[in-house]
Amino acid sequence: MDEYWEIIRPDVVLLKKYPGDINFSNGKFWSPTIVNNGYKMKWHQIGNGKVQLRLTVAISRDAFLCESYDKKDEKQEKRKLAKFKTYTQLIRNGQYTTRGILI
Amino acid sequence: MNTLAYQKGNLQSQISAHDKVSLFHIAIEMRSQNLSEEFVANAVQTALEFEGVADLIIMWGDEADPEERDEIIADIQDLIIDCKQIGTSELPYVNFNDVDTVAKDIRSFKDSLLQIVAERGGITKLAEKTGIPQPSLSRFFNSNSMPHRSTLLKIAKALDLDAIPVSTQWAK
Repeated sequence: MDEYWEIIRPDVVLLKKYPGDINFSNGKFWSPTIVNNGYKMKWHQIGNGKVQLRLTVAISRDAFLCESYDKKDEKQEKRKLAKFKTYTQLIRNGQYTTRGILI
Repeated sequence: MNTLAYQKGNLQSQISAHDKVSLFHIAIEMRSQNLSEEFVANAVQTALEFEGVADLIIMWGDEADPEERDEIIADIQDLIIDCKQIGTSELPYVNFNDVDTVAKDIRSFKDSLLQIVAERGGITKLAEKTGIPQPSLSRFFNSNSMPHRSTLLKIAKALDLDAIPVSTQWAK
């Protein structure tokens, strides 16, 4: 619970400054482009289970938080990448559902 | 390993005739694995428009592990539904402090629905009746994620339920 308020949420709110904040140059925090206009935010050894948390983010006119997941293996990563590729295309097409705006 | 070469359009991916044929070959294999005609047809149709779905179909064709194949099928089914959305929409924001409560509501709802499914022949029979792949239904019932409304409606119809017996306020 504390990690959400103290680490994860503040990190995500940095997207308001994208790409200005220095963290977006840190490969351990922010991936280079993995699909068209798509990036990954990363947390290492986080939560009670000490998991590798990933959050896929599509950058269009706004930043869209698409899917978060616990990274397990390369096969899962490939599947998540294919899903993310589809989500970015849907966003470009204007076919998506939002669930709130992060402030 | 198969690869797909895409020529990107403005908003959609267009794949070559050769790559389309690869998808059709895999679709035939999917049918031989008892995936429903409806699912396979929807998967191929969606893949012709969305590169990520085509990637997943190719991954399925290359994959030997049955459990990983099931995960891929469940992902494809999720995307088939997502790709049918028309325009944009908004759903209620869920505050982080309410996430556990929402997850418990969804778990309780799915458990009660699963009880009805078990009484009426189980998930395998439900898969036959709905055309939804069994791995996708297993993921649906095993996870606390918010269900797609279209999936709920298919299940309700297959079970002859007049209405989903509990609140579906969190359905997507």
